Order: sequence, then C-alpha cells, then structure tokens
Amino acid sequence: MASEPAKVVPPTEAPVVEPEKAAPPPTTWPTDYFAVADVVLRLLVFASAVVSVVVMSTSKETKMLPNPRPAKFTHSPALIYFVAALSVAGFFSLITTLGSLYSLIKPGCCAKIISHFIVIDVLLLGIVASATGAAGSVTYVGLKGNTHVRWGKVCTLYGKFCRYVGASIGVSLFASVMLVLLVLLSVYSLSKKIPK
Amino acid sequence: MKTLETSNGASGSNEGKNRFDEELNNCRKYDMILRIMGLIFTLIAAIVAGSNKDTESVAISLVDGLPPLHLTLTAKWSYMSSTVYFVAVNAIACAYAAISMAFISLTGGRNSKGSILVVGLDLAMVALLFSANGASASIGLIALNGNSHTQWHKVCYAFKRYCIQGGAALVLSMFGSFFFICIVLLFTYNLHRTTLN
Repeated sequence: MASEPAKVVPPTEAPVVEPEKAAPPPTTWPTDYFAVADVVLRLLVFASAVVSVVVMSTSKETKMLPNPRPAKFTHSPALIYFVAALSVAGFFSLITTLGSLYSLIKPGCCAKIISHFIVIDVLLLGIVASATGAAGSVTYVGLKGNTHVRWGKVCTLYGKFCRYVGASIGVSLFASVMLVLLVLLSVYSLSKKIPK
Repeated sequence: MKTLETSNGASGSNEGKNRFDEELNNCRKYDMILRIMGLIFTLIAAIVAGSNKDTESVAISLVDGLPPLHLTLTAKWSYMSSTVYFVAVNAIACAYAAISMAFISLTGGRNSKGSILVVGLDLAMVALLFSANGASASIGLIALNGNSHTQWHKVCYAFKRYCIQGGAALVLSMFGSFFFICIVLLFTYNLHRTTLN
C-alpha cells in the first residue's frame, strides 16, 4: 500500500517532462542535464507531496461499535501539522518547478533567481522532515501502544485508517529523500559552474 | 573550496588572490563556529534528554469514598520510543559535527569532492534532527494534553519535572538543527559568491 500511490502518479507526470527532454537536441544550445534532472526531481517532490496529502485526507474510517466512531486525521494535532506542512511543500515545489521549467525553456532569463531556489529547498526539507517525524511517531504509538503510560493500540481497531496514514508517511519520506537529492544536485551543479 | 583557489589562479592578480584567501579563511572560520555551536547544542540536548528520569508519588483513587492510593511511579526517557530516537539522533549529529570538523581541518577544506560529501551528510543531519524534533514534539503534545479520541490520557500533570526537562531538550535540539541549516546555507552562499565573481 505504501508504494502504490507513489507509483501511480509519477507516470502521469512523466509525459509532461519528456517533451522538454526531447526538445533541446534539435536547437542550438547544449542540453543542460542538471537542469532537466532538477525539474524531474522537483516534479517528483510535488507529486509525492500531493499524493501524501490526498491519501492522508481520504483516510477516514468509521467503525460501528455500538454507535459509529470515526477515525480521521483531524483527531491528532501531529497529523494536522503533517497535512499543512505537506501542502506548503507541494505549493512551493510547484512554484519552483514552474520557475526552473521556464528557465529550461528560455535559458539565461532568470538564472539569478533560480539559483536562490536552493534556500527554499533546504527550508522545505526541514518542514517535510519534521512533519514526517511527527506523524511517524504518533502512528508508531498508535501501532504498538505504550504500556508504560497505558496508551492503547489504535491500529487493531482501525486497520484501513492506519494503512492509509502509514502509506502517506512513507510517501512523504520519499519526498524528503528527493529534497536532499535536489539540494545536493543544485550544490553540485553550482560547483561545476565555477570557472576553472 | 579548491575551485576557489584555481579561479584565483586563472585571474592571475596577486592582490585578488590575497583577498580571496582572506574570504576563504573567513568562510572557514564561520563554518567552524557554526559546527562548534551545533556540536555543543546537540550534545547538551542529548545529555538533557538522556538523563531524564522522574520518580513521583501519584495519588490514584480506585474506589470512590475510600482515601486515594499513593503509588510511587517512575517516568524514564527510555519508556518513550520517540525520546530514544531523539537521543540517538542528537548523539549522531554531535559525533558527526566532531568528525566533520576533523575532516575539514585535515583536508584544509580544499577538496571539492570531499566538500560535496560533507554537504550531503550535513543535509542528512538536518533531516534527521528535524524529524527527531517533530517526533519528540508530537509525543510531548500528547503527553501534555492527552488525546480524547484515542483515550491516551495526560502524563504531564503527574510528572512535571520530566516534561519540563523534555521540553528543554527539545528547544536545545531545535537550536542545534538551526545551526546545521546555517552550515548548509553558508556553504551555498559561498558557492554563489564564487560563481558570480
């Protein structure tokens, strides 16, 4: 379940990127593979942020104990923070995707602004990582319980809810790994640009 | 940082070279200061969180009408898996800060492959520290307020000192992760300046 939503969306995003990859060779300028990889990574971050927000917000499950008892993400502050943080991450990664796509199509138009995206990426990494940690720890307590403070297990009762939340956390972990790679790629391409 | 040197060689001007050397030294100085601050804060956070143990006598009334039963209960840091993770990550970040300082002073910060590796590990530390902070904060929030939906009741009303010490460790670790973010941003700022010059 964890990997399924992540696998569904990237293929739908991939066709958007392919034309850009194919377009440069006929024209005169040399293909900048760093810029292409940058756009692809940003799209992956955007897609995984959207997927994890959607999966988390559709995770509602109602059990018919004598009377209906729903379980949904708004019952835990950590999961609310998770949804908010991933929405912010999705929004900013969409903006930076559009920005670097534009600079890929028209090279040299706004290189100075694009090169400052790295600051946004580092801050987004902090936000996504903290959201993943917060949601992960709450879900871990829900899964295993804690006998010392007598916090009971939740996942024995709400199976589907827990699976959805776990899948969402897995996808956001993927997003934070992609953000680390994105910053590393930006640093590497910057250090390549230094005139020898 | 090595590339900074070579770009100076290309420009050929001796005065410019001196200026760049000075800037490089300045940057390394700030980098070292930030790493030392990160090391100190994560070390203190790990120690504060790892020495967290509180024994309190808690009054529990089992049956109404009878006098409450006084139990001596102990809250220890290792009872919460999120705190164990928090202590482990802070210890790792502290050890990494020391190792990276040794690495940078041994190579003189002039090895460009090495500095990419260091930035990658810095980023990994940022991610780990932030996730540990998030984990610790969310569990602390449940301990403080409880959660009526899942019937996880409050803990902090009985173990006040335990919760205050945990919160202090969290704040210290947040400062530490702030310094780690600053290390990454300083490195990229320096790269920017070098590319634009």
